[in-house]
Amino acid sequence: MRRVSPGACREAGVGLSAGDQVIEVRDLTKRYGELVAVEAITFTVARGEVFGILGPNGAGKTTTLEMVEGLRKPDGGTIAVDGLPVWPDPAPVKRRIGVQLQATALFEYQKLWEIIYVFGSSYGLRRSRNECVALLDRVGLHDKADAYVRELSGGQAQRLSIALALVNDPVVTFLDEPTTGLDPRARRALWDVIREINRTGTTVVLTTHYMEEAERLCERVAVMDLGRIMALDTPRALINRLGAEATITFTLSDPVPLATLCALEGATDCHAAEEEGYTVVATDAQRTVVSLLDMAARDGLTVRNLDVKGADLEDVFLHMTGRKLADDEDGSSAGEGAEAGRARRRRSRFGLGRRRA
Amino acid sequence: MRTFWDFTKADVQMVLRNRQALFWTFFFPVLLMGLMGVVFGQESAFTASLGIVDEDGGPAARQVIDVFRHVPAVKVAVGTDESQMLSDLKDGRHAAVLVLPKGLESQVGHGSLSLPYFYDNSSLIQASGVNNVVQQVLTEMSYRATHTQPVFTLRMQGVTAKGFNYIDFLVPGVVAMALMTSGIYGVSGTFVEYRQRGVLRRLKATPMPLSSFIGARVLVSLITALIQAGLVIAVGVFLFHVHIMGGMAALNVVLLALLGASSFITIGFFVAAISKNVESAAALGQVIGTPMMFLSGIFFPMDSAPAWIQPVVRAMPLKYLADALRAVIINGHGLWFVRWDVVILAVVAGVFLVASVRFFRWE
Repeated sequence: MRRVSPGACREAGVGLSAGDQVIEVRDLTKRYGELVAVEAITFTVARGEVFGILGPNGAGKTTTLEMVEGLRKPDGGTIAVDGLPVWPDPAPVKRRIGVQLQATALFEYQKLWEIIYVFGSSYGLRRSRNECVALLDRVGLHDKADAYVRELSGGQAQRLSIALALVNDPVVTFLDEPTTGLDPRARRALWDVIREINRTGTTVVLTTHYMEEAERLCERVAVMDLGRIMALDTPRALINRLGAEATITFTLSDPVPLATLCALEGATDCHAAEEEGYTVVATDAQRTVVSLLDMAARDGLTVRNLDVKGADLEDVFLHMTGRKLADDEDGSSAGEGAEAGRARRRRSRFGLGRRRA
Repeated sequence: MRTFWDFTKADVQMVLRNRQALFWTFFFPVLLMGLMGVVFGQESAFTASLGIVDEDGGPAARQVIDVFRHVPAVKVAVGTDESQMLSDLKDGRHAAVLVLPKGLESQVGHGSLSLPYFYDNSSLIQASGVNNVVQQVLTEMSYRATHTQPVFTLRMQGVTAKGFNYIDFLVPGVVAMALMTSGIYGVSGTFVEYRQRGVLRRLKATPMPLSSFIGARVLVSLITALIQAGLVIAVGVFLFHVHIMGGMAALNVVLLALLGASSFITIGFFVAAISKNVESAAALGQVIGTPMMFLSGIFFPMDSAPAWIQPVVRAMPLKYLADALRAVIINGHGLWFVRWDVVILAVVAGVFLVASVRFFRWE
């Protein structure tokens, strides 16, 4: 999977110094009554990067984004986009950014290119039909220029709302859970669209609760939970911080005592499950696997269903919060913020189910 | 400004492309009027059957019958058996029955004479029409008998020739009704939907002021209102020969239609502002619109409705629009004549505008 580096974007002609920050957020806070949805978060987004905010529903991702977009007034802290303060008057910033909101439906009885046109007009732009179609082409919808919204699939509707987030040639575009509710294939196709947008020089800020999405797409990821940023780094660095633990799972032709497995070279933990076989956690997967195979050969055992899974952002999140990223469905997890309930209500109103990553 | 026109154009396209809504907006009022007109009104003037029981048989009675035969609004059926006539009345063959009792001849000229009179009160329109005609004719005859001024003859002719034409009554009512329904339902439905589906929030993310978006919507609604009014009146004139009074009427109708549409559009915005979703907006719209449709004297005059309901009738903004349109379209009155209707509609528009702004929500 190809990842676009910030350097590549600059080479593509953005022509800005490496230290140029397109978004600067300091001590940003939002409260809903007693509940603190976003608590004094600070981060910057570099020009030309794909920046991800990863966290479960209710972590405060959308609230953060909406404050940066000028849609929701913060209770504290400062936000600057492209050097301009967002508050108190967000209008100049709104002109420079592109916004894709969760679950936006659009005008019925308007063709796709006409929707692009009126949204362009709302930025004071007058696009020709050809320019509108060209924008649709960028998100892979050129053959739908004369279609109506109701004729689109879920993935195509998301593409349209991404196209609308590009209508004013924004410096930075915000995508709020762009792939939520899509099937894996449509999700992957959308990743390509997002990469393409970034390649042409637009900074992309996206929220997601799919760790794979953050890992594949983002140069840097802010891990958010309960209104706070728990960690902010490249996906690789976040994973490395865990001590690069890998999980080795397998079955054996004959059972062995658990102590034998725990004695394998480099093994830090081991357990057995009746159906799934054995699990060994190791810091150095290669050494441990070699040691496992040696043991099997010595004792005349056959190793089957061998699987080595490297650590990923899911493990990072689990490690930091003690909770699984995509497993907040029960809603009873401790300290779930006001936004979680709100987000859930909003979601159920639009009839979108939540899907696991 | 450019943005405003772009959104106006988009709104017009959306109105024209939504065929189903288009039908309800433009053709339903016309259809409804046509139906009501055919069922309840005749092409020319209103006629009803009047049964006369001639128990006397004298020249005075014959004279009375003769006069009624010359009244264009009634068709006279003469008989001598009162019970037969009354059973015909109950069967709906007559709208009313007048009895000329035995001894009529001898009593004429000796003080006031009261004549038994029966009418079918299950059909309000017909009854009130016939009652008026009979009353007018008898009054006229009284005047003649006592040799008072013949000026009253002229007045009677005027009343019988006009005022009983149901379609004349109906057309302004349907215009008012169409303005109400498209104002309340059209605006509240779309707006709540835009809010519910996040369109308003998405627009908020653009630098465009919301006033451009709402302004475009209101402009399109007002244009729609004028076309609706024009269409209903045109069909009334060409198909049902409605008599439009006065050259100023057209301009006055335009002004009243704009004012009335504004009142109901603001009510629509208010409904949208306080409704959580499309379903509750539709329900609330019905709660406001349906009583208004039937208690504002749109299809039938409310004068003959029971007294206890009159305060309710007077609380309906639609009544004032219908009254004003009727005065302007049919009687050719100027706007000064309907000034209180105008004031009330303007107050309604103002109150609901303030309330809509107060309760407005983006999401």
